[in-house]
Amino acid sequence: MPPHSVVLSFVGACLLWVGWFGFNAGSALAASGLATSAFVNTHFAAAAAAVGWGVAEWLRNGKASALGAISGAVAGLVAITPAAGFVTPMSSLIIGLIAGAFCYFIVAKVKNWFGYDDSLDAFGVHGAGGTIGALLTGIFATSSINPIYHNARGDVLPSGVVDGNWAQLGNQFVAVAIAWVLAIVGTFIILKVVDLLIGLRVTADHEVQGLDLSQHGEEGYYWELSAS
Amino acid sequence: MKRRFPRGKLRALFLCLILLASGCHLTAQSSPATPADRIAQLELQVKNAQSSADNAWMLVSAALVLLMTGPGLALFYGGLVRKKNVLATMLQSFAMMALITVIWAIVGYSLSFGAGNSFIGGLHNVFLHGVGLRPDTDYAATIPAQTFMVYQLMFAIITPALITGAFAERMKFSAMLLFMMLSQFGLCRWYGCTRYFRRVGAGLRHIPGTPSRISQGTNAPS
Repeated sequence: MPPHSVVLSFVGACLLWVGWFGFNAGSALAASGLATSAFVNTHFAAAAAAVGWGVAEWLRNGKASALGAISGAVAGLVAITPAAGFVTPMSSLIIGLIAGAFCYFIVAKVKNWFGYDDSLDAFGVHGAGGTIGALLTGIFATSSINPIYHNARGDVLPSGVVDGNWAQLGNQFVAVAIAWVLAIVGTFIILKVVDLLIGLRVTADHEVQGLDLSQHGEEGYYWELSAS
Repeated sequence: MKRRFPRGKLRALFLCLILLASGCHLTAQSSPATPADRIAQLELQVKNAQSSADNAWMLVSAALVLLMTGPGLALFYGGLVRKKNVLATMLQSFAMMALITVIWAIVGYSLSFGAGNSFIGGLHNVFLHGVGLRPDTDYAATIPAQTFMVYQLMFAIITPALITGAFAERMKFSAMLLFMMLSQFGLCRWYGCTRYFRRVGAGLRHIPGTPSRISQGTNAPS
């Protein structure tokens, strides 16, 4: 189903990019150097992912689309979010490139293989982007940006694989697995409860009619039909 | 005949004013008499300066995170759906701005960040009781607790707003609201977990966003 207005999505994605600075650089909870690091990483990854998605799409389809560019940028923003406070700017470029190409692969290929219902590519961009970002954090996290591990004497210990700490990649796998299990089980339980209480889906009639009219009694656009 | 103001009186008045002004000046300057007092005052001023800087950035950040939901996600998702569902999709994001804020103020913040166990907070901060303008040193030592509260609120808004993308175009509005209220209570456990997870692994810092992103995928086939 094609989007009804890529223009709206385009503006929305640009606003997401800008707002994401508050999301990541604000997570330092202070106007600190770490906030600067997260700010720069956020921007670099978004840009690199837009390039990554665009190039992958160009190579496969012979064209780079606007929808692809913004989807890539959002995928990069999602992917850099777990890593923003721990990696160098050059690492964030690599994370962005990988995330952009990887999410394009999920949306363009894997979705067709499995045939799941994901009209907004929420899973392809957010689920896949978040997962690849969390795993890449374990690779690119460095103690030179954010010394998080210390031994008993207070010496700084290596953070991620680039520092030589392979165990962090395992930690990240565990974290992703916990997030997936919690999300799947939690979502399933709550959906079941809501379904039993009031029902989840609109009726087929209402779905054809559109949710604007059936749920809210209004329409998004009233086009004046000209006489001609 | 010219009436002259007596020059002597004028001079005396002027002198008094100068003395008064300099007196005030002197008392203001010399109030912390001992070096220890002066250092204490200086420390307080430095602390206030850092708090002001951090608070300014955190308030701007909170507004930016709301911008992600407000126009950002609403437009992004709104454009991707079919024409007949644009308002319903945009309203799903906007409804989160309203609904989650009210829940957050009444009980959500307390369940997420109030004192409790590793998995869920308590009811000590319901109705934002005790969440004032002094920093909460458990979370952020340099910004008012209310800044921290409102910043986290913006995350609590965008998390469910992101999920709405998974069931756009087919979920009842009432069911969506109920789902979000229930998952707000489910996800706040996750916020509570972050303190525990920070000890386990570093990459988990931004973990509150992760379940939402991944749950979108699991919602999608429903």
